[in-house]
Amino acid sequence: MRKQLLAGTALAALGVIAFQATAHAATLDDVMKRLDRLERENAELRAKVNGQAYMVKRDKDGKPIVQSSVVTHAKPAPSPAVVADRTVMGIPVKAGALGPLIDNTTVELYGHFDLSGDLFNPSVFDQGTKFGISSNLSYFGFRVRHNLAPYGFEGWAAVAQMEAQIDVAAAPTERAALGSRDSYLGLEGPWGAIKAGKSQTPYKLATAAMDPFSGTLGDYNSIMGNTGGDNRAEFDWRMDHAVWYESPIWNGFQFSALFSPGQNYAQDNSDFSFGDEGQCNGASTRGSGSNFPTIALGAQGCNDGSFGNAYSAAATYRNSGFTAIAAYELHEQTNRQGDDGSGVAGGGPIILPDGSVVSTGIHNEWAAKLGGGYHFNDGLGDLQLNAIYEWIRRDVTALQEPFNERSKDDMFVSATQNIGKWSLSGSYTHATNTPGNPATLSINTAALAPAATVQANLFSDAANQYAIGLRYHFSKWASWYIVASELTQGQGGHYCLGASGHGYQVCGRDAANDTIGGATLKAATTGLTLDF
Amino acid sequence: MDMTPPPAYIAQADVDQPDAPVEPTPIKIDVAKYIPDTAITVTMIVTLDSDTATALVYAPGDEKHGTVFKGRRSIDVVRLDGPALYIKLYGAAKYDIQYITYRMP
Repeated sequence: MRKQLLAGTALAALGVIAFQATAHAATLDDVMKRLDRLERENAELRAKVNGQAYMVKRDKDGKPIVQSSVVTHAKPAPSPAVVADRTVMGIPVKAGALGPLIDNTTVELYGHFDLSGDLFNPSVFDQGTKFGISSNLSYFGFRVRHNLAPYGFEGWAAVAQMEAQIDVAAAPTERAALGSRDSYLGLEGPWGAIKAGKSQTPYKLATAAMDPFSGTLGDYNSIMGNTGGDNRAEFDWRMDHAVWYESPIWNGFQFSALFSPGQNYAQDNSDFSFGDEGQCNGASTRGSGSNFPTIALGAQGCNDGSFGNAYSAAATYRNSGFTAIAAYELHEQTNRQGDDGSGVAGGGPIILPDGSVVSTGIHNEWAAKLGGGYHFNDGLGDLQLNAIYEWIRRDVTALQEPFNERSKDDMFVSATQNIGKWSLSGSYTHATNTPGNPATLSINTAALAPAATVQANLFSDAANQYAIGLRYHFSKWASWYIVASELTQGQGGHYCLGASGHGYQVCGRDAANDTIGGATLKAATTGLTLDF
Repeated sequence: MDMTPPPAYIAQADVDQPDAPVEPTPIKIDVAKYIPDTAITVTMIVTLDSDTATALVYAPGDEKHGTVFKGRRSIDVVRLDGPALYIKLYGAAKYDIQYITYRMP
């Protein structure tokens, strides 16, 4: 009897609690809905009172939105808690407890991962089809911004950045050292920004967004900005020891200019720049022209494209989907004596099969380009069209023209059709024939390749690259892609896929590193990207 | 159980706080004209009409991670997520925005 009584009491109590909870929740919801409705009506009435006779738009939370530079409420609201100064141990900070202990300073951590699986075939007799895994332009970094307004410099900030490549897949070397990518210290304000450190050149940045296959084996730097048709795109460069200016955006127009002094002991720029011990100026770290392993200062080792002062400038105009760019870059007194053997320790004249003596010397190299883009909705989704024309020149003498493989014109077109979360892209890149070539290349057979008997300047080195790809955007920050690319070239050409972007390059080389002239390069790659 | 306050209570509240500050209305800013839709951040200078005013600029749905601009004229970076931003003004009646630069992925 007692158990029954206790059970009945408990059941009744549970019922009352459950009923109260339901009634309590329902009533609170009612109150909140009423308050919300009152708030909306209040905002609409306020808008009407202030003479705003349009319909009040609302954001996804139902809050009213107006498009005006004048606030519609009569009395300005006070600053909210979110902007109030906070303190950690009595020190005012802008960030939270784990943020920087300096007032008016923010630190942003950011990064990019791009990992791909590649299938490629360089059409070389002893290579065949291979599979590779590559980390492509992956990096991380942090930015520091110190707002100077509270110190009497309204609209100004001191800014700094450190960015480093991450060799996620490859064995890390100094190319992935701290500060290996864009790193700087500078000031930013109403008149733009002036920074010093290292940066991608304005010339490079002007058209970087026009290549939908950046970092893949379809990257346009196989040809664009690439003077020698090899691993390195000299005019798609990140300049060390540089100072540069970036203008603000004036009605869609923006201008930027960069200067990088050669700063070396040599008269012919054949030495390391001050501060760059073991790394030739204008060379890929541990890559093409780097002169790795290190040789001593004064040994004239930097003779594969090392230059003195460099200047780069670009102007861009963007307005309502239309983009136009113009860019120019100059590398003063670029040392190419490695191609003719002069001025090289232990070197001598290089004589081609037809008896001509190679002469390349030290000359200015420059590039200029014009580009345009248009972005519009074609009914399927946003369509982006781009086109670039580029002139690259090495100012050699008439007698040196037969050995000049650095002067050419490049053309690039691309289209990207967005449909929902998918992007379908295609591109075509063309390089014209150069006036000459200093090299002898190899025939694509095991018996003849070691002899290097193909005098390249007797053949065309014009090249065509085709790329097509599909990308799925999981979000703005993560995507999956698949890209296929093919590069065809004349018998005198030695272009590579993946130059200056992909984790490695696919070139027409045999197992003995002989360069096969005119190799057709094919690749397919699929990968994931993640930004933060 | 009815928790609805009686009408007289609401009337009393209105009388007592006729000028109670309200959350500022977000103002939509179209950034697509000069900034590429693929940009992920934009650096801007926000000018306000008061030394003590503050503006909060944020991408749609990202108000909690918005950028705070304090004072008459300050510069900072705002994260983008599409062609529009919103600005909320605290203590200011007017604002002006000058785009300095933007960053691509």
